[in-house]
Amino acid sequence: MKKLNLLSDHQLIERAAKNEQAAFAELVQRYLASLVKFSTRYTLSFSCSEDIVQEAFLRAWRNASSCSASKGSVKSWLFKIVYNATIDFLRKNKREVSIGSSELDIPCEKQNPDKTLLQAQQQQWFDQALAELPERQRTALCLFMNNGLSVIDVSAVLDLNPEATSSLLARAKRSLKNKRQQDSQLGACL
Amino acid sequence: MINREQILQMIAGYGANLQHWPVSNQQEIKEFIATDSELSLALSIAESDELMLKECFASSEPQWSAVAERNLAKKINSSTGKAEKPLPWWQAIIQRFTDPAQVLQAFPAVVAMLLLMVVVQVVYKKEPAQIDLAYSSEEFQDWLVFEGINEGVEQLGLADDTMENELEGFAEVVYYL
Repeated sequence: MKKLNLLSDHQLIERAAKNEQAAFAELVQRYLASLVKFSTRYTLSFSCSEDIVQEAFLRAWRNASSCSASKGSVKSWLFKIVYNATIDFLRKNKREVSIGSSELDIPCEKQNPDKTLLQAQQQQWFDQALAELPERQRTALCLFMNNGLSVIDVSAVLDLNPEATSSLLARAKRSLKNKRQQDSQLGACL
Repeated sequence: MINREQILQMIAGYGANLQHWPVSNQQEIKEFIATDSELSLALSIAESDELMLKECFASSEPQWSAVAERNLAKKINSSTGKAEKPLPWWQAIIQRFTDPAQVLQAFPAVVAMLLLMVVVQVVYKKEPAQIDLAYSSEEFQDWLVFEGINEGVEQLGLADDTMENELEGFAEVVYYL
């Protein structure tokens, strides 16, 4: 029998659809961290994102048979489930999230003593610039740049066609670039 | 045929990595870029921008501990072990009608329906045709004589004993008349 870590995502999800738990566990291992980090960018709370991702994986396990190669990559399918679950969570708990679970949860885990003051400032600038982007542009850019999804995969997550996704990405990059140029003239960024 | 403007738009959208571009155009675009210095420059600028963005994303990414990852993976794997998958619709129907809990729950309603059907059958049972036996064959014979039909019957050679009962006799008479 072929080792699970040598199998492709589609082969693993096919096995998971046939109730093979070990195959699904391999998928969990492959994508758990990136999915939790992706969700945390929205919820600003690891504990909330862990719950969201756990529920999303449970949903993926139950509906493994609905994920076929024709519908896109398994990675984009998982990201789509987590993205939708995160958006639902934010709609339901808007108030609690905005109150500041972020201050309780993330900074202590995010702090890195090796970072210089300049790096910290750069990071702060980037976080702020990213937060100022419209939600879909931010999501598209994050999936494309940070999570390594292709334009086709990003379009599958956001329910758009590839052309629309491509222009969304172009606008997001242009906005960031313009902001960087404006702020560098003021001496306040990278 | 793709023009320079379209390629510049694609560089902005799809990024500097040509492998992320639509497969159908890849070869044509590569050849175009190789011969156009302006496009090559745009591609290298996009590449450096992306590199910078990737670094920014990486540094701003929340750091999640490996212990937390292991714990969550364990939780997920144990919960998927317990979770039941939805059955195909036809299996779900069979299971529903063979599940003792479901069947027992529906039992009183089924019995009540059967009883109701029996009651309806009894109440609305079709009654057989009532034959009026108020008159004997002698009385019937008298009636035939009174009505002047008797002669005709005798002429036809119909004996009285052929009339087993009123109904048969009357039917025969009507037939022959």
